[in-house]
Amino acid sequence: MPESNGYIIAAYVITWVMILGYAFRLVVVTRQARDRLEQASRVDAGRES
Amino acid sequence: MLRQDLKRVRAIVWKDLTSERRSKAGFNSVAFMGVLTLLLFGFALGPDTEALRAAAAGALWLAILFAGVLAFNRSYQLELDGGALEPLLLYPGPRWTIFAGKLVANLLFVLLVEAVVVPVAIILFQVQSRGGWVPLLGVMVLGSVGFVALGTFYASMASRSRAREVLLPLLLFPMLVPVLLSSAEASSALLSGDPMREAGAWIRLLVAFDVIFITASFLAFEHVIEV
Amino acid sequence: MGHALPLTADGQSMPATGQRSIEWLGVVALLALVGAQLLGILTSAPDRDMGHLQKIMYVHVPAAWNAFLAFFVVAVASLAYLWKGQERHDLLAASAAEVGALFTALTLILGSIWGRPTWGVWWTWDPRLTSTAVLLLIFVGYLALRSFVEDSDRRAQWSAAVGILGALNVPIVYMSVRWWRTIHQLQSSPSTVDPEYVTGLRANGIAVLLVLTYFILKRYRAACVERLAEQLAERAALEGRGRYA
Repeated sequence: MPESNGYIIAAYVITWVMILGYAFRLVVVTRQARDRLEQASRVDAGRES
Repeated sequence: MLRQDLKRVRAIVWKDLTSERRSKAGFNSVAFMGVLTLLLFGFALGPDTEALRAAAAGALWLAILFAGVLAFNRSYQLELDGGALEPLLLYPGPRWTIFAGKLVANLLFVLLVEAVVVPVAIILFQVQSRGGWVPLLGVMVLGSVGFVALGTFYASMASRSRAREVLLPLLLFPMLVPVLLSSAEASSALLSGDPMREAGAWIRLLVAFDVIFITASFLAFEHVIEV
Repeated sequence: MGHALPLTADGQSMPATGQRSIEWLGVVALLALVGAQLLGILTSAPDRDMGHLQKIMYVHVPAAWNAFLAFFVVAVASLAYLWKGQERHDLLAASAAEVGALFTALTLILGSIWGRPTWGVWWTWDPRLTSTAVLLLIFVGYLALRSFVEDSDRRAQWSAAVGILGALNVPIVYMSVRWWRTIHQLQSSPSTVDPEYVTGLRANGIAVLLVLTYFILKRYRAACVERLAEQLAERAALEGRGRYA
């Protein structure tokens, strides 16, 4: 069934796109959070205003 | 103690309704929204009588839903604008009375809106009720109770956050699926004369849903009104 | 404020070990997923009715299982928050909600992709698909609510209430739709688990569970860090440091 292969491929491709996409978003979010923490720590310690 | 609580509930109902009545614009615009929705549904569905009759119950309930959400945020608007929510909370007394008061006020308001919208739906959708009108009115009331309980609860949060117009439907509508389903199905069955005796089952489900969601709303309200 | 900080108040030290073991979990999870998918694809014979389309089940079903598992985590964490008042439960719930939304969306997309060649339609109003759609809407509403509320106490209390009510609603929707279909005499969707495919499904289920755990833990960690940053900024502002002094 060559036609149905398209659906199967689409299913797996979409799965990986979404999973890898979110994994990448997590990298960005983690980095942003760490940057915010460093910024806030500096402000809190009075070294920056 | 209970009598005092009930007096408090009644006071809140009266306050909400009278401030609503003073702004007749509130009722008029909400009722008009319901009618307008029905009209648009009619246009979208087309003039075929059979199609209209088949869709009547669903269209009616959706019109009520869209009109109702306008009312729910407004029921907290009055307190928010006047800064009256904090004093209300500081006053000694159980929180459930606030919720009960607003629920009853909203219910009366919605039923009044339905008094306008239902006849219009009957006319526009060429409805013939073979099952009698009284059971149908019963279903309208039961469905409205569930709708208003959840709406009053979610509005207590939405009205106090940003983007309240979009947040209330977003939070509320998924929760209304069981009530909407059973109300629309029961209404539909009654309108068609209930050939399969389905309406009774749906009505029992609707009552169960009302009990569940009213209880849940009351319990959850305690947590969301304080903070 | 009366509740525990998610991490030590000493913002200088961030346990690096925790982060590294989470990353290892991530690597293991993704490898496991590749392995399980290959296992499924290569070792299963075509289904009698569905043919090779059956292979979509190896991604669709585990996604569904894990979406509902994430939702369960949201509900339990929300209850824990309302009970104990510890912020980390709220942050865990929020993290699980975000990851859960991802897997729920994936479930629906894959279900649609499977449905089209199988039944000729992109959507059926069957109980499972419909309650999954409602689940997605509840997740989205939950996340939207959080994004529109600034105050952390209020955000946590309101999210918990919304999460728990949402959790209550999903099984009710499932039952209503099932009843709805029975009344209209529509057949229930065919069961999709032939014993021959169970191994592949379980393998993929576990692999996706590892991915889910990795995502939630990592998101949770980032949420804790963000919250700590927020608290430090608040403290600084209150004590007269920083740009709002």
